[in-house]
Amino acid sequence: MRGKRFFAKHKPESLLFGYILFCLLALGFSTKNLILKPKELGLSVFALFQRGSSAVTSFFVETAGSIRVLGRLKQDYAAALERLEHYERIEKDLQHLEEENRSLKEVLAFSRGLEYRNIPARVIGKDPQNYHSTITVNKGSAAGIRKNMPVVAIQEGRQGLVGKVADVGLTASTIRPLQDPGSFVAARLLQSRYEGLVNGVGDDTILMRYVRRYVRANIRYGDLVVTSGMNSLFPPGIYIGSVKTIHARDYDTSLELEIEPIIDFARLEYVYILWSEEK
Amino acid sequence: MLLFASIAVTAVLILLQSTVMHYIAICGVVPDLSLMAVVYLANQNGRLHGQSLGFAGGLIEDFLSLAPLGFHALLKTLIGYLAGFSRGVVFIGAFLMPMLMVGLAGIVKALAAGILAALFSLPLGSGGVFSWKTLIEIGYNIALSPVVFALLRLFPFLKPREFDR
Repeated sequence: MRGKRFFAKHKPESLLFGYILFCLLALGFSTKNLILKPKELGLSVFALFQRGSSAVTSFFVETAGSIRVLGRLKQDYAAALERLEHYERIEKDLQHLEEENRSLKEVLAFSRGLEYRNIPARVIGKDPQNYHSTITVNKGSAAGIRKNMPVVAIQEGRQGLVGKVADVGLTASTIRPLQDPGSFVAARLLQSRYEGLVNGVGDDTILMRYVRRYVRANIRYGDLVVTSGMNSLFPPGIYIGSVKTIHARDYDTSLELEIEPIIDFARLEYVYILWSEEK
Repeated sequence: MLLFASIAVTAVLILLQSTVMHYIAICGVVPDLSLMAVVYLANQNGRLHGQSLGFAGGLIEDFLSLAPLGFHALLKTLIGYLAGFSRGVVFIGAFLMPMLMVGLAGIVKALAAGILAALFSLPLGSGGVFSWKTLIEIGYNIALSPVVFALLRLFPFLKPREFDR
């Protein structure tokens, strides 16, 4: 009786407690990562503020560094302009060839041109919020799609990796794209054959990590990166992107390469979900 | 009935967020229309309505997103509950109050998302608490709030009534 009266008196708070409990349990089960240890809990909460203060400090330090770099950049800029003219001429030829290639591929039909059995699907939506990079497509389990299937797309006549299937509904599926922080792909540099792990960090940026430091001299800007096929998830040889920046930190034993994806995710309309076995 | 109508309107806004709003995204950031709906309807109908609407709307977002189930649901439940306190206290005018309330809700959302991400080790990428994306989202939400609130006022079935006394 007293319980009922208490509930009637504090209805919003009781319901709020119920909702929060449900959400926390769902989060715990979904992430399998429920933290109950007080030390980790404290670390997690306070490290958040620590990160904030560290970000502010690095901002000022990096600004001072940037001013020094600016002077050097001016000299590089003049030299780069000369090279640019040369490359522009090459690019015109390349664009012409790419356009020709693209139209030929369309005629041949992309789907049949792929090396693996595939299910073509259309992009019907993206993440309703800004914390994740979800892509939703119009095919689900009814079309034979299963979780973790690799997803590719073709743009400008080139086939590139989009990501993998994250969740499957009956008539729709969500795809975890390369740039999502939860995405990990075993990769290889096409020319030098060195391996690494490609990981998204959000913000349309993908990084290739764990590339041995001593191979720095063998890596060039623009080198292509492909899937290595080391895990069974992604077949080998699918293009991921090209090397944009090389970070070699003094304290780190491996290199970190910033990768420019082959696929422009903002223009994605159609994707191909692959079966791992070849045709 | 009012709650179901509110959930239906919020669901439509979430669908817009995941489709057409990506065409008018600023630096890849879409505005959070459902957040505005939760704030407005919680202000009109109180805490109970706000938190239930937030819970339902957040769950829909969880289903459509890579986020673990319960992530957006918890954020929106909290915002709905807190915004519900403004019922009968804050009168929503045309510009200032919608912008202020939506701005505050955006800050609460970012902080709560940061805490949840830290507690459950969620990979949020650059959309965490200390990021320019969060600032753009809050700014975008503030700019759109007078328009969205004005549109929500047009729906007769969302008119406030005695619900949460």
